[in-house]
Amino acid sequence: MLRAAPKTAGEYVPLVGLRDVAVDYGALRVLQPTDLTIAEGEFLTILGPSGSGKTTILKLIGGFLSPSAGQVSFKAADITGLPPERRPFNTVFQDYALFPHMSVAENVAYSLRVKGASRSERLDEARKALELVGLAGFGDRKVAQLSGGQQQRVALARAIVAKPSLILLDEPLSALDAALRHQMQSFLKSIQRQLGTTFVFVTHDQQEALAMSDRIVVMNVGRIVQIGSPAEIYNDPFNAFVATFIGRNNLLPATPLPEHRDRFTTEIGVVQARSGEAAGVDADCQLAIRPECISVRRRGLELASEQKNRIEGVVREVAFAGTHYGYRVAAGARCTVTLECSGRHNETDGPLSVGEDVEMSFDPQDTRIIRT
Amino acid sequence: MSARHILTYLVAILPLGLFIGYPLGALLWSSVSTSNEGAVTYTLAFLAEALSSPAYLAVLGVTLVICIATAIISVAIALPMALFVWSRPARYQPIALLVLILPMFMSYIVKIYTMRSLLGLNGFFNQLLLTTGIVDKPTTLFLFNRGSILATFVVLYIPFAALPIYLSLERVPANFVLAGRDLGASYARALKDIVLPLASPGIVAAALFAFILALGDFVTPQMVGGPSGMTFGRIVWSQFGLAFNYSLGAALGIVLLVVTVAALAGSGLASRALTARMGR
Repeated sequence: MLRAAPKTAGEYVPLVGLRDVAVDYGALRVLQPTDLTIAEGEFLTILGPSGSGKTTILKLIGGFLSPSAGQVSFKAADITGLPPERRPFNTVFQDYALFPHMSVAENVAYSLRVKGASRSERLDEARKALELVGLAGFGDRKVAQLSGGQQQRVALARAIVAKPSLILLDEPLSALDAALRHQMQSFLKSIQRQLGTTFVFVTHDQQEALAMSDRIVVMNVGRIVQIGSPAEIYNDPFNAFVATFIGRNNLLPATPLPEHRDRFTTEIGVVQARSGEAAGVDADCQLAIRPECISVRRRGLELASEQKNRIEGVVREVAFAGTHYGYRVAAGARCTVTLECSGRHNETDGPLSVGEDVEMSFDPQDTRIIRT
Repeated sequence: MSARHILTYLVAILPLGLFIGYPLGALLWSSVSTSNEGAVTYTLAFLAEALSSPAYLAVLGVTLVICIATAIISVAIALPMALFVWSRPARYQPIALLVLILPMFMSYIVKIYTMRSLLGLNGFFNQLLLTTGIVDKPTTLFLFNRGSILATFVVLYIPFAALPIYLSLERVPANFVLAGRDLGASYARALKDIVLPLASPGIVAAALFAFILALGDFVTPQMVGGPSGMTFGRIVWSQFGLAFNYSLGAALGIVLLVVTVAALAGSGLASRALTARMGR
């Protein structure tokens, strides 16, 4: 079962490519002309809200859908017109699509049966695959006797048993409860590392995408918006959609001050942005600052460090979230800033309450300018 | 048990007893009794005759062959039709299903006459053969024989076979074919390995519907079967409607009932065996 060692970082071998691929349903264009290259051995996540075209891309790779334009390639070969049964890819479906009239082992070994493998070989491979997903000894059970998490593992075993070049996962964790979902995230990731197989994972859950992926493809309304590592996507969102869809963000309409480098006029006053952020920005834009990057103190108390951006405000909402307190603070005339403070920080002077006057500050290095 | 419970049971059981239990009892009673000017005598002679007469048994054999053939051909035609409806997009399925079962809502007699006009001496097939010059005078090949009974049965009972097949297909998730193909099976292979085993209860029910409906039918054989198309249903009817021998008619009716019940029991076993076998 164990195959070639996972590709080392930096080794980038294209496996599957989409070239100018577009999909129309009648007059409706659900996927704008799109280019995407998937590298061998990577864990690629396609992230987007419903209707963003992420499942469309999965279907194109799997061969369940023919593009209206463009080309799908595998290594050097054009596979645009190839039906799913002739593509060396297997899929873990959202609802698992396990066959209820077959036992667990028969489900897992179905692709080998289709290929004409002998019964003993099928049983042997099914046993190995089930062992790998932690379901040793479950082969003779009926699918209906398994829990959701176990069915999920059977679906994965069925997808890996024939050693495909690529595994497609269509929101496989969405039916599981939160605790099991977290467990399955690290499990899927470890299986992927162990096998070295390319995983293409579709989800609408940004936390899932950040936790599991080597690269994330962010999609919105039928287009790829940004491609990058989880850290790149989180730290340098390309536009307002990415900035607010992945993690939370305060977006403030901003106008550059012509005579000052990196300074912007906003509703909460003049803000010093990260150096270089203003380069090439001459019109209105948005200034993004993550809630966890803002420090807050009761007005009158000393701030931990002298920071450039200081804003006064009044606490409007307090929400305890276990690891931190979430506050919504009114600042300026029409502006509300969302911020998060860890519980530890609040041990010194206690959590804030609604109506308190506060002073917020943030480091210019934590700001991003989003061009609109 | 409260009065309400008793009432509930009465509402449930009374019609059952009245409309099924009573006629069944009457049939049984008629088959073992005969009345002569008010004097009732009990005898097993009629049942014995129904079970031992070579003439009746021969007709029973022919009838079973026709009915089994009806079941097989109806399913063979209804299955692709039901699969076609099932594989349409969800929003077109209700209308496609309606077209499939529309003949169910048409008069039985009209359909039989339509078959006669297709199969008869001046019917469509004869006209076709005459026009194309294959025959020079109308042939009686099509009407008033066992073949014409079979053809009419099939036409009549296809919708009754298609409906249960479609209903069992409807319970098979649409992405199972896709999942099978994803795992390397061709469309036909995925149908055979995944869809048909899961739909097999409906397929067995379809065969059973066609078989039982054909078995009891005495009008169709009379209308399109002619003298050579004698079936068991016709014999039963003739004892009641022509010979006024209710006792023999009832005894023959019981034979028909036993065959039907046996077919029902057999189909239950077949259904389970089929699902298990096809999954291997």
